[in-house]
Amino acid sequence: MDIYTGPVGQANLTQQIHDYSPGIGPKGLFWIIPVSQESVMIDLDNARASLRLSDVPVMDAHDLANALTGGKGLANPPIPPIAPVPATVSFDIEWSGALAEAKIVNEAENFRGEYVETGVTINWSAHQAGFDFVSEAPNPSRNIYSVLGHEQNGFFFHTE
Amino acid sequence: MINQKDSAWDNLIAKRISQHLQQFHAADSATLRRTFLRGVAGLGIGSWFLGAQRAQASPRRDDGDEKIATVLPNPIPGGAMPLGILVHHFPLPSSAATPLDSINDPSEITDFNGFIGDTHIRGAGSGTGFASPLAYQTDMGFMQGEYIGQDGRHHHGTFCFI
Repeated sequence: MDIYTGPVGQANLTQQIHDYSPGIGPKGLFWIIPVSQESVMIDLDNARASLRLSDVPVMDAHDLANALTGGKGLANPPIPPIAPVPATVSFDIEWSGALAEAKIVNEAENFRGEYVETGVTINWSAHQAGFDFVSEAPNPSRNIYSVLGHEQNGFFFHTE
Repeated sequence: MINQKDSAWDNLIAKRISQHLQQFHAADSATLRRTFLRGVAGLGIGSWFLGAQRAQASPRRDDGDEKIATVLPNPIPGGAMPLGILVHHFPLPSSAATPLDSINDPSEITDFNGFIGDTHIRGAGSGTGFASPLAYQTDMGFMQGEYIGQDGRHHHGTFCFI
């Protein structure tokens, strides 16, 4: 979850001022955390789902470069090192409305599944010492690309 | 590949998450339901790092009765290279014109059989100290279902990508 001072609709690294994530986990697991099953509701047949969580503890790494390097910054493009600070985020994401459907079998990446491209809205906020952020009202026009699906990959790609 | 982590970063995150869970979620005891159409609860966050610690302390088969997964999955083998750094994640297309059947694996975990949700959104909001609207970008999602954990055994769990 990233915040920029730049124009809405763009995501320029040099204009980024906040980068919220739970960090990179063991074996390189990227920005994911286990949550309760009740946090997710999915009805794939009707192209609907939701993901709702409150007060999720994360770190604000300031920008993507510091998020990926553990606060060490980057030489090129030049991004100064910035130490992460604790924060919390809350969000309500709602997927709805089928835009396209596809069955995919990708031998190169070892995954297969049935997918639906959908509309989406999000309502989210962030809180940390000295800064609060509140997103605009849920706006379907802000969707860039959203997908729901049921898939098998890795071991399960080869067994079904 | 970013498997080498700054220990100070890890410790800071683990400490903060532990404090948060103790303060806000110690009494959370909602029951787990294994249904296709899931109920929704606002307080459902688990601790990645605490989960890893629990998994190491008492490895066992997850029969689906746990509220939050305690054994970690493995990441997908590939991924994107933002800023020249490999991450085990494929961002969704940046254009709605991209055909759905050409997307990369939207799951971040491998050896997985279940539901996924993924989204890429760019919008606006307001922040402390800024008179003008700020821009945001969210690249988020979930994975829910069966997986083979880092212990080599089958588990069920729900994971949120932030």
